[in-house]
Amino acid sequence: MLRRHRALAGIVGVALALRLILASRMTVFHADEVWQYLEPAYGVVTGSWVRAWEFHAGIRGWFVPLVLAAPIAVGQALAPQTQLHLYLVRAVLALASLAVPVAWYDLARPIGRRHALVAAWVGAVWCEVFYFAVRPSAEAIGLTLLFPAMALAQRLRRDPCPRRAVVLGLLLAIGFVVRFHYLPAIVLIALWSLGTGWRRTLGWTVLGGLGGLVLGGLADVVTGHPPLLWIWRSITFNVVEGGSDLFGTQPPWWFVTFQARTWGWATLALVPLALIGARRRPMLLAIALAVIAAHSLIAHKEYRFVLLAITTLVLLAAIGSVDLWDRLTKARALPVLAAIWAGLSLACALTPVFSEYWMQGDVPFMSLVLAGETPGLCGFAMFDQPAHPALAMTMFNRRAPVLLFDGPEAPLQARAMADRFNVIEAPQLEAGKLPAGYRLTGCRGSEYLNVEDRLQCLFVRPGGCRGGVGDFAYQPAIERRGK
Amino acid sequence: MTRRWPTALPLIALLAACGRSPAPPVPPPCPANLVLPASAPAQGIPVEDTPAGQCLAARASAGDVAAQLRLGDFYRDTPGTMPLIDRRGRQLHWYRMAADKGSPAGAWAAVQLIDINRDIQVPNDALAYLFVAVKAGIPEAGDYLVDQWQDGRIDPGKLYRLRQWLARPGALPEDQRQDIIAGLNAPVDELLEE
Repeated sequence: MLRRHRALAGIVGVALALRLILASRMTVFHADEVWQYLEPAYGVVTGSWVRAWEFHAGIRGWFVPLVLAAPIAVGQALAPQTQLHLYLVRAVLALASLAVPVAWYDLARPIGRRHALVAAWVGAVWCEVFYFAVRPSAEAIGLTLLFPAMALAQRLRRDPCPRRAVVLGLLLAIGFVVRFHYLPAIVLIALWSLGTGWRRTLGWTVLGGLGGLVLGGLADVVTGHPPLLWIWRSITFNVVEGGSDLFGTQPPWWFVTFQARTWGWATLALVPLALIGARRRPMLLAIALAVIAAHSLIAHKEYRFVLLAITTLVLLAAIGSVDLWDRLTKARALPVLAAIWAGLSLACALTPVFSEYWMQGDVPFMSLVLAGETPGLCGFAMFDQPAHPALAMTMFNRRAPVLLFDGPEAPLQARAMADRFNVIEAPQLEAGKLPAGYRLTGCRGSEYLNVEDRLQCLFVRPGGCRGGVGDFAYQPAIERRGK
Repeated sequence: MTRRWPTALPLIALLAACGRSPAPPVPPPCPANLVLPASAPAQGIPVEDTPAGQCLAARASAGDVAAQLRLGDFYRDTPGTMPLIDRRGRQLHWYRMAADKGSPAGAWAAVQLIDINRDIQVPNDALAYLFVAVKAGIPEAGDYLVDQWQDGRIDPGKLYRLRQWLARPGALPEDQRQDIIAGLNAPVDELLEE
C-alpha cells in the first residue's frame, strides 16, 4: 500500500513542507482572518477579544471560531505569554489542507496515474493553494472541505456506498456552514454524486448533510446565538439591503480581469490547459463557472471569494497539461512536467499582484506582538492608526488596557490621558505629537519601508500607569466609528 | 404554484423579521428649548450622560435623524475644549447613524470625518457615504468625488455603479451631472503624470 502510494506520499511531504514554512511566518491576506475568525476564537478561550461590527450585527457564524479555539486553547495552556497559539492554528490548518493534493490525486486518478500524480503535485506546489492553506478564513477552509467532497462525489457516482454518502453530506453541509456563498458549487457536487445507484445513497447524503448543519447550528447555540440565523442575516444585510456595497462595487467581469493580473503571463498557459482538462472533467468546469457566475452577480467582489473556482481551474489545467504533453511527445517525463508546473507556480507567485501577499500583515500584526511583549507594559495606546480595527488581542496577547486616539485632536487627548498608558503604537512621523517622555524602540519593517510608511512604530516611556481608560477604551471607540 | 404564494408570504415575512433586531420604542420628544451643556464634556462626561443629552440620545438611538445630527453637530462645534472625550468618535457615531437613515447631511459629515488620510485610498465606508451625498445633490460632495478620483485615490471599479447611475438623465441637475461625468472621465494616469 505504502509502496504503491510512495510517489503520492512524497508529494504530500513536499506539500507539508511548503505549508509549514508558510505557517512559521506572520502573514495575513485579509483582515477578516483576524477579526472574523481568530479574534472570536481567542475570545472563546480567554474571554478577551476585539468584537468587529459583524458580530454586533449577528452576520457571522461561530463554527470556524470554535474549531480554531482548540489549537488556541492548547497554545494558551502550554505557553500563554508566547505566540504558540498562532503557530498551532496555522499548523493545524496546514495539516488539514493536505486533503487538497490528495483529493486532486483522487479526482484525476480514473483518467490515469500520471494525471493523478501531476494533479497532486500541482495541488502541493501551486502558490494560491498553499498560500491559502494556512489562512484561518472561510474561503481557504472551504477548499479543505470541498475538494475532498468532490473526490467523494466522483467515487460515489461510480460506487454507491452509504458510508461515503454520509461523509459527503457532512463535508458539503460543513462547507456550507463555513462558506455558504459556495452553495451553487455544493449543489453541483451533490448532483455529481448521483449516479445510477442514487437511490441507495441519496438518503445517506441527506442524513450526513443534516448532521453537518446540526454541528454548525450547535456551534452557534453553545456560544449563545440562534442556530444558523446569521446566514439569513448575512444575506439580508449584504444582498437585500446592499450592505456589501459599502466595501466597494465592481463590474461583473472583474473576477476575470483580476485573475488575469494575478496569474500574469501564466494565464496564457493556464486557460487553454484548463479547457483541455475540462474535456475530461466537465463537472469541475461547471463548478468553477457556477462559483464565478454567482459571485459576479454581487456588486462587491474580492479575489478570495472565488478561490474555490480559481483552484478548480488550476486542477483542470493540471489534468489538461498531461493530455497536451501526451499529444506533443511520446516521452513520459513526469519530472519535466512537475518542473514546468513548479515554474508556473513561481511565475504566479512573483507577479506584481501576488508577490505583495507574501509579506502582507507582517508589519501591523508583528508590531502588536512586539507591543504585547514590551517589558513593564501597563497600558497601550494606538495613536493615529490608518484603519480600525487595528488591535487584535490574538496577537497582543496581554490583558493591559488599550486606548484609541485619532484625528486632529489625538495629540491633545493623548496628553490629557498620558498617565493611563506607557506604550504607544504610532506612525514614526507623528513622534513629535506624542506625550513627553517617550522614546522610539523600533518600527517593524524599517529596513524596507520609507519613513512616511512606518505607521506602526513602538514608543515607550519609563514608569507605570494610573487611572482608567475613560472615553478612549478601544472597543467602544471602534464601535463609535462603525467598525 | 401562484396559489401557494399567499401561504408562503407570512413565512417569508417571519424569516425577514428574524434577520432584523426589533426597533426600540421611540421616546417622547425633547423640550423645544433643550440646551446641551458643554461644561460636562469638558470634564470628561459625555453629553449623552447629562440630563439634556440623555433625552436627545434616546431619541437619536431610536432613529430620530434630527437628534442624531444635533448630537453630531454638538461635538463638531466644540473643537479643542474636551480633551477627555473621544470627540471624533462621537461625531462619527451620530453622523453615521443619520447617514444610515438616509441623511445626506449625515453622510457628507461622515465622509469628512472618515477620509482624513490623503496618502491612502478613500476608505470604502467613506466612499459609500460620499455616493449618498453625491446622489443627494450636495455640490461639495460632487467636487470632492472628482478631486479624489483625479488624485488617484479611488479604484476605477468602485465607481462602476455610480457611473451607471450618473448616466441616467435626470439623476441630478443637468449641469451638475455633466460636471461630475466630465471630471470622472479624466484619465487618472495622465492626471498623475501632470
